[in-house]
Amino acid sequence: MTPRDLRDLVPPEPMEIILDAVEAARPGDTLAFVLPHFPTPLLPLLEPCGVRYHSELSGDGGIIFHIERL
Amino acid sequence: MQPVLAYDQAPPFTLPARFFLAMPVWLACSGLVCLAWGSQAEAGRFSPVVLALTHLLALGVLGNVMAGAVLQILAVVAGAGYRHPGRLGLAVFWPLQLGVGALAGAFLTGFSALLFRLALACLVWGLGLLALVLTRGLLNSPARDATSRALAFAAVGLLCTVLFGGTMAAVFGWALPLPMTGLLELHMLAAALGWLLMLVAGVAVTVVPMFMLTPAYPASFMRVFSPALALAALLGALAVVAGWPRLAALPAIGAAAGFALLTLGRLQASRRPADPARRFWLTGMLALLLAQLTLAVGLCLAEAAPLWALATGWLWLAGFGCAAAFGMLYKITPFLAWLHLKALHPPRGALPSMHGFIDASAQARGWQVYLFWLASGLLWCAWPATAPLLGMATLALAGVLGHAHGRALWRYYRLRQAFLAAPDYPPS
Repeated sequence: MTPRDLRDLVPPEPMEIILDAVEAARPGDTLAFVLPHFPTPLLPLLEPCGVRYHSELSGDGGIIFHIERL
Repeated sequence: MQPVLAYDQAPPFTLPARFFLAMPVWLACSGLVCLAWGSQAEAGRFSPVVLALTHLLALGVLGNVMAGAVLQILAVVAGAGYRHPGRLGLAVFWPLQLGVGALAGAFLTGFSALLFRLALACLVWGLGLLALVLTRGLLNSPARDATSRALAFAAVGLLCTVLFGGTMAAVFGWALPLPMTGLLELHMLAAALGWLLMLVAGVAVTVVPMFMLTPAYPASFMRVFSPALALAALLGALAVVAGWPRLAALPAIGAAAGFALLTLGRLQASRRPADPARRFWLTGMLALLLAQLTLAVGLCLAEAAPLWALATGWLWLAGFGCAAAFGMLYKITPFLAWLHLKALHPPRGALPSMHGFIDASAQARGWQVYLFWLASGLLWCAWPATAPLLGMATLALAGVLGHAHGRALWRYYRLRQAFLAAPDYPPS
């Protein structure tokens, strides 16, 4: 799956998009987004959604943020 | 250390919202003062109408936005929750409003001693409490990032501003034999450098790269800017005490121009050139730079015309301070509305996006009216007879800002009522 690049969006638009996608996802679905930095402000909002997440460097200055709906 | 984000510590929306809504009311009041007495500014920067307008802008407009934003930021970014947010809001809000009205009234009624005493009591209480809450919250917070450090310095700057300003109000209120010129220089130095520039710079290092999609500020700047600004303010204060008031401005000019140039460089490299918030910040930084120029010209001229001092004050307050405050408020109000509604776990699709609260066209319109207001103010500095134009522009800006933020808050209120009244609320 190609991660969706959200780097040219102004905060908190990426947050809205990710939370919306998480809400729409079914258990077992995985999502991936390219972000300019680790999304610290998003984490407190993701926690109640029942997800597992991890990140890796994108290689061009950003990070790829992976989310799995539990 | 990175800032700690604790949305569960966020105070109710009513805490910052009441301050944000008070802002256009005081802006409208300054417009009315300008219409009624603005042409009397010919007497210079110490004429009663200029002093009243300065404090309406500094305390009523900027003070309210800053107080609301600081109380919100402190709770969420520094993780410093409030035990009684409702009581805290009232204890800062009403004294601040009453104090602003009393102070402006004191200037406009020929330096009424009674109104100065009332203003002193209210503002020392309201702003002193705000500074203490800010200091206490930051001391207890684990956050040690550049913004939190600058907020701590800004709290000291606010306390000094209140101390020197309050002493002057006491001089007028009780006819105390104290040196007004020195107090005035120290008050302006603490307010402009220690409070306004420190707070805006502290916020800028986080929000400019984040919201305007610019390169980050250099790491060395992030480490040193807040102690360097504090040092510049201290050097300026020492120059005032030593009897060299002209030298006092030099550290301020250097610090402000350096920050403006660095921020302009970031903004030029923004990946969102059409963002209205970027336009506000660009305007603000150009105004800050221009303010240093007018200040320097005023200092160089032996018999400086009132124009230079008036223009410096206008560019600092209306140009730099208000541009940053209005630009960020267009981001803060929709985000807080969205965040508080999100916490209610609304049904999917029921919560509008941030643009649903204040859209980009409303922000762009706000910037255009703001620019007209700023230009009208500069015209007024040169020709005080144009005060009616500035008064009308001020009323128009108050209307545009009040409409945008009031509409967003009304939408928030309606949606909140709808979510709470839904039969399946609270969701399991």
